[in-house]
Amino acid sequence: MIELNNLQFAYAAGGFQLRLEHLSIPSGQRLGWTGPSGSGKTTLLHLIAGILPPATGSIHTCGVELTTLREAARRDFRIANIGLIFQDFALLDYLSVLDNILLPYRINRSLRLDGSVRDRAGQLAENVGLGQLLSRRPAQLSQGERQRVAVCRALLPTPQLLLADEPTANLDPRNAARVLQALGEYAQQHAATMIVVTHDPNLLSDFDDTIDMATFCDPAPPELGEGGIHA
Amino acid sequence: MRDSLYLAGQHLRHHLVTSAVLVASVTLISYLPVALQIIVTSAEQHFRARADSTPLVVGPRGSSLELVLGSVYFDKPYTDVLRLAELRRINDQKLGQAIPLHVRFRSRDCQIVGTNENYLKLRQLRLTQGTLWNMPGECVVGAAAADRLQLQVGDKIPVSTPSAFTLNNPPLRLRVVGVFAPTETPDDQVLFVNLETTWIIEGLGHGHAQDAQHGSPQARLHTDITPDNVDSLHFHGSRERFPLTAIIVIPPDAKAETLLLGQYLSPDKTTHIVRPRAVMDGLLAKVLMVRSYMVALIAVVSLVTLLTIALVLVLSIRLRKAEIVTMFKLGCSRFTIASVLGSEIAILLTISFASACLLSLMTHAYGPALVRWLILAS
Repeated sequence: MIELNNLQFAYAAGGFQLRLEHLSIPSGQRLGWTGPSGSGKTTLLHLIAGILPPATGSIHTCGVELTTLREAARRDFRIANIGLIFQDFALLDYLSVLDNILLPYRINRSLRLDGSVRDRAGQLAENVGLGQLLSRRPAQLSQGERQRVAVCRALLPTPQLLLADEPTANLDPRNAARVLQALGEYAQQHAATMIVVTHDPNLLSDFDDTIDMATFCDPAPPELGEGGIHA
Repeated sequence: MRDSLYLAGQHLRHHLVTSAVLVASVTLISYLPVALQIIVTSAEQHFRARADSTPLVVGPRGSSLELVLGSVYFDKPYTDVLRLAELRRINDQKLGQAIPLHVRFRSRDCQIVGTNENYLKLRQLRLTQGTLWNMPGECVVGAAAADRLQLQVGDKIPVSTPSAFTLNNPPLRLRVVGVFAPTETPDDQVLFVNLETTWIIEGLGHGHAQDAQHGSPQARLHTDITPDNVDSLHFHGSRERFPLTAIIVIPPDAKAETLLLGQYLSPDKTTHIVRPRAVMDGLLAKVLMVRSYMVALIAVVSLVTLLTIALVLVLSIRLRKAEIVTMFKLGCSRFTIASVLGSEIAILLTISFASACLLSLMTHAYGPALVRWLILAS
């Protein structure tokens, strides 16, 4: 269950502001988020993931109130419980496919890298058709293969929540379907919640529910005010 | 920490050329001052050791440095001469052992050093092949010269200067009768003969058929001095006036040294006496001054290089902003990110300093030999 209450956020540089009275997403739900650019989709994902702290309000994710946690605790929580997938794949070009998948275990001491993790990484790669490409660098992969590496990296710590920010934007329909299928299968097997931001209306039928983010936030209000959305 | 090192290592390996250039830069700026110190110190010790074993040198008035370089290091032929009478005068005073030197001629790029057996004792020269000379026309070769010219006992080597002994015939040929063991000093590079041989090359002595008149066709027969024709050898003029290029003097004590030094104070004397150690100290003081300038120059270049490297690293971090943001979003702390970047710098510096240490150790081990080779080969 994800619950957001009385949430307010504004970037220090000004401009975009987000205001949300209440949003509740049940566990295991596969949710598609749509909306125009600048409507706050990525910002809200970052708030739910604990990457950005809100100005006010509460964010309850996977049984933890994120706003009460210090930054280090939020990082540990995020890396263990939330799988993040980005539009640009965000792979490290100097690491092999296997090392990119294992990256969460190398950058945070709360995760322990051992033989079983390596085996699981290999199995995940095998499941998405990357079994023969483990020693390659991202530059040697196609776009679809890169995104599948990013998916494996997100799934390796077995997160309860998947947050994917336009994961199919740079992919052809076949690869887009393959990536969403991998995410969907994982969510189903692990009863994980999945939130996918997408601009592709053809993909919306794959989700349990969809939300149009255009109804969430004020386009450019001068001050944070009353109102918001109750989803 | 292990993971930070691993990620840093992967990044450096992926950018191998850049990493190698950075390592090479830091290695060089670390190694150069050390190498300069080792090389200059080795050269200094090499020059000082030779000068220290040569207490005093008497020579024709002129440049002290040229006298020392010509007679102690056989650096180049010394053109001015003093007379054999000076050697006898010093010996008669019993103020020290006087060893004559005549260094004016060459044979196939090797200096010919005319001297006597006392010089060989002074320098502790030891034969590895053959014997010492028994008569004029015989030579004993230094180890490096024998190696370079492929000489062995029994070979003959022509003097580059035409000799009056052969009366306009092909030049006198020296017969190799011995080879000295290597000493890693200038003695290795020269041919040793007795003084009579050098005077023959000077044209002060020659040989021809007993009944031949000078200039007659029979007088042109000898190009080698052999046991058969050595008896025809004769010198013209007063021996007292025969030339030497220098006299090494070994005074028994400080008093004798002082007395000897005092004898050459008069500006009217056509000869002078020098302490090679003092002359070399003066020369080396200039070398040390040059070294100081070099060190200052290297320090400036090093500083500029370090600033450039720092700039490269800062720009590299800026270029990696997207990577750093990704790691942060995934759950990496700023400390870990700094640790990865710091590990890269630490790896670069460690490899660089290790390389510089290795090069310094090699320079320390082989530098003196290299210096000797450079000095002796030049």
